[in-house]
Amino acid sequence: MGLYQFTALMKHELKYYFVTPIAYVVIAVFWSASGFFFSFNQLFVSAINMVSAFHNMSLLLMLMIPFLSMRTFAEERQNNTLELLMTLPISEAALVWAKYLVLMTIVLLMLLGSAVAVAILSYFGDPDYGPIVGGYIGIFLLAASFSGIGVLMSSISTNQIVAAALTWFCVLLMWFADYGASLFPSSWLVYFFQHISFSVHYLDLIRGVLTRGTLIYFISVIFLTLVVSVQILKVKRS
Amino acid sequence: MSEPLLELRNVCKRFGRYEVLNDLNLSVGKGEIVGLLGPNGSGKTTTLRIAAGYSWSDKGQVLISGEGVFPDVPFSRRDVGYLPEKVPLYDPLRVSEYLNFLASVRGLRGQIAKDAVQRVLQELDLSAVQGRLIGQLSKGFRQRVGLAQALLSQPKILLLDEPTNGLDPGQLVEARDMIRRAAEDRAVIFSTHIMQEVSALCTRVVYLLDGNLRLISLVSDWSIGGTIKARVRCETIDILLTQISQLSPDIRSERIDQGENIFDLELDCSSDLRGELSALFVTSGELLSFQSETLSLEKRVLKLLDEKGK
Repeated sequence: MGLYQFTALMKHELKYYFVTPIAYVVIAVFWSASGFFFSFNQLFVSAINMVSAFHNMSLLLMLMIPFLSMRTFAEERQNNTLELLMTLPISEAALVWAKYLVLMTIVLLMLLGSAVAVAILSYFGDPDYGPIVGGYIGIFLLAASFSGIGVLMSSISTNQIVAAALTWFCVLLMWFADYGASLFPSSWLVYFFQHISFSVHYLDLIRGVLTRGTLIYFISVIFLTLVVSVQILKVKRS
Repeated sequence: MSEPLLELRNVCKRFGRYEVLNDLNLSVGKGEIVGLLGPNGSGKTTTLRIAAGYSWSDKGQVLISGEGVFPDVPFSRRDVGYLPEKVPLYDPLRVSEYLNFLASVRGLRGQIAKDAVQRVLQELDLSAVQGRLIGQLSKGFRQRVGLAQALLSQPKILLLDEPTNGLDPGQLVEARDMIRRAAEDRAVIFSTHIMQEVSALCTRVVYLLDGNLRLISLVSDWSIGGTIKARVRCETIDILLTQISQLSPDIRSERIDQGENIFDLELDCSSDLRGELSALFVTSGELLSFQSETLSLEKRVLKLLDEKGK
């Protein structure tokens, strides 16, 4: 399969998000809510940083991304268009990656809109840009991981609502995974639970700490979820 | 039959303990329209899915022009046009957007893609609705759009899963014409429950029952016209029965009146023998009544299956 066909798949996927209201609604809600929380924080706390804004954004993304990702495969399966796509001369991997990259394009659009807050901070003060850049890298990696989980859950579901609910469940489970460490206080599992937790890695990032381990963690989650999604599509062929 | 375009060789498929296809062998040549018949759950859709490269077979292989079709080799599916039972459409898209997208994904570029879309729009009389949202189309038009996508890349093989389901009589006639036109330069397999569909369209019929191929028959061979019931008064009944059995061996006779030599005769025969038989009755005795019943298509299939079983 060539780049031309891959691009065609991506164009179609992007167009499909914008011929239905879902992308508009999700982007509008994200921009409005993140803007509201940022303004609220500036008015009442007057901090010239975006730490709390990133916290709020992570929660918003946790809520909003399942609404975007739920349709990737579950809707195709509901409409029977997945059967058509899988009899075309394109691979499962191309299908998964095209859908994922489009999802990330919309996420990028959402985050770009929220960057108005940085412009406001720069206008009225002199913020430390290091944590802001780190925060944006962190929130992007977090959103990319949520999206990977969303694509995976959609690939195993025939119903969009089920796909969204499973995504919320998995994201929450991984967000609070470090709480599991308290169940096994003196065991190697402490390290395991802390290492698989989204919140532990993400909090490092928004404090401006970008380690190789954190980067590997997020990239691993993304690749693992997408590779498993491809395998699920292959298995479901039979 | 011409050189086979599509071959299914020893195809087997199980879902758990349930055997869906058992050693299925089938060849379809250019210009042929093969009707896939069988009750629900007999393996029709599974056969089409395997032929389309969507599902794996447990054993056996699918060949298009001698080359294998495999679900994990996307390029091997390039010569297949497939229309699943539930027409795969994106309701929020316009007809032309949908076809342009599928032309691109099938690897057609630039002017070639535009020409392909225009060709199927014209062939299937969709030009007038190309700017309309698919979700607003009638069932007949939706079926046409589904068929259009299957024909976009001019595939050698066209696989249609119950393509006339739920169409009204007018749409049915149109759909038949479309399939007939599509089959002119390719091999077509379509599944259906509707016998009239088979006799109107197919050059060959394949009957699947419990995953086994029970019958391959040319529709033109279906010359069992029906049953003839005759009452004759005849002095030389043995001679008459011998003469009839040369035309149709499956004859049943019953004397109903000892003194008058009146006999009731019942036999199955093809429609072209009816005239000859009635002439024989008239010349051999006195024909008191003559009744000819045409077998329904469903009964014909059951009869053929019965004969095959014997």
